[in-house]
Amino acid sequence: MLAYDFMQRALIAALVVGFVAPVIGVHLVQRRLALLGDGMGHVALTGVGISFLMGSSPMPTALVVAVGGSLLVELVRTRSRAAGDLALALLFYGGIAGGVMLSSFAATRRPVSLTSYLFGAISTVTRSDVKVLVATAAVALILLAVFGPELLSLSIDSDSAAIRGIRVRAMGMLLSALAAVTVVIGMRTVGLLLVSAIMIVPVAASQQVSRSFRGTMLGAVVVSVVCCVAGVTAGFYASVPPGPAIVLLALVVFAVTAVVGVRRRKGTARNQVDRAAAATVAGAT
Amino acid sequence: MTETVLHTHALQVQVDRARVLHNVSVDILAGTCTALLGPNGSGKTTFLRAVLGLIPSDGDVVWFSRREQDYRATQRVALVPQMLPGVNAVPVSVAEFVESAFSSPSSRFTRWRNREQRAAARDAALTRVDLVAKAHRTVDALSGGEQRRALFARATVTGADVILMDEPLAGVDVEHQEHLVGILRTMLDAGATLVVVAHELDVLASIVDHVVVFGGVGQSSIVYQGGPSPQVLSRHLKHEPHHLHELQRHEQPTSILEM
Repeated sequence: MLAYDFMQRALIAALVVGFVAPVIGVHLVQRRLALLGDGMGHVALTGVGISFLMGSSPMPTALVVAVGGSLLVELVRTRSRAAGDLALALLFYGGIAGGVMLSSFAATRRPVSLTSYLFGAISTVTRSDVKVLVATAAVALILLAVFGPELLSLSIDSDSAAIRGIRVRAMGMLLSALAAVTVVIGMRTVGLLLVSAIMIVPVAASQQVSRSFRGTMLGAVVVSVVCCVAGVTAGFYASVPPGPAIVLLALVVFAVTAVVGVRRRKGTARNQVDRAAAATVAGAT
Repeated sequence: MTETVLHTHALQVQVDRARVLHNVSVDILAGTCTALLGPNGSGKTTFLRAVLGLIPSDGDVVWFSRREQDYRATQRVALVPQMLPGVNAVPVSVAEFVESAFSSPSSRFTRWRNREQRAAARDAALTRVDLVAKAHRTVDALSGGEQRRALFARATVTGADVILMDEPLAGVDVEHQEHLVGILRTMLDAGATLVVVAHELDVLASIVDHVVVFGGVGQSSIVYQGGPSPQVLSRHLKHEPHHLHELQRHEQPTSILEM
């Protein structure tokens, strides 16, 4: 498999998205914005449509449009939660409609296909895609290393964070922009419709068995990287679409950890009841 | 001369055009413990949120006698809210919860250097509130009283010397209430300034220097401020608003502002 250049590029892309997506996703889940990435995928589709029309490279164009859309969404969302919810929906529907419409305009001049962007086409990842992907991921990780603790602090308690001078709106915009960046990073691997799943499902799987934010993040990275590499490998050997394979594998891991988590919580509750009963008996005697 | 940590003059808060807090003028002096008392809905928590800039307000709020300085930049002020803001979607350990207080714009690029000091401060804060054994549990799995102790640990871990507390003892068992009051006394001895919204003044009575009673419906939301005289406190602790109004008419408080 590694003898093929396209598979080397595919695996690099899978590793990068597998690593970055849950690191951003864990903050999205904590802030209850699990579906934000999904919406950003819709907005990025307009970027792909614009690139078809202009003849520019899809990844940088989608990146600019998605980040712009994410900032707009966050701006509206922070002004009014109710209006923000509606604005979010309008922007997302507009994003997907715009992407399809612009692609159809471009299709009158030359053959274009949105399908590979909607569901991923890892075998078509170019050398320049890999360069943009790695550079973008590096910037996203650096930003997260610098601002991550403030993002976490904010999502735990926004009042206490504000008292320490953390800028609530700016941090919200940063997280939203990072989600958009991640969507574009994963665009070629899992596709715009499924990329949000790589941000969320590994986190959901990991948090079933973790007791800390850091533990959840590390567990999610492991789950995500393993699923991404396994999905791409399955795509090569079994001729299955890698994007859906990655997401389904992650969902299987979630199902397993959910069962383990439930059993563990039951065991803990039972132990607490036993300890309480023992303490009562000891007190009575 | 004793530093004035917080000065408010004619502070006013409106929510949906309704006056929630009006004409509140208060001075909080360094090294003192001020209790904010009053019936539910009298504006005690609103006062805390207004002076911290968490909600919009009119009037003067001056921290540390420097009108031009944003109190946030000093990193001297911390809040103990009434309760956790909500259940975390992702598990957050008690240790992480307390450590979150170290996050600030000023520590953005320096936090890698003093990691060990921070860990030591975190352990000390958890030990102070008797939660070190539960440092690796999720904060949402703690009991209500334990969560309040965790909130207290978070507020004190950074060495902030002005602590605003919103009913910090509610839900805490008697043994730990006395323990926390002992910690507050030690902090006062070390020069800290405490502002406590409370209903359990009986436990706090030994450390409170100054009392501000909210609940006024006339010219000011404050009906009394001054020393914690037993007469005033016994009336206040009945939690009956008519007593506050009676107090407003007949007491001779140390100072009644804007009345």
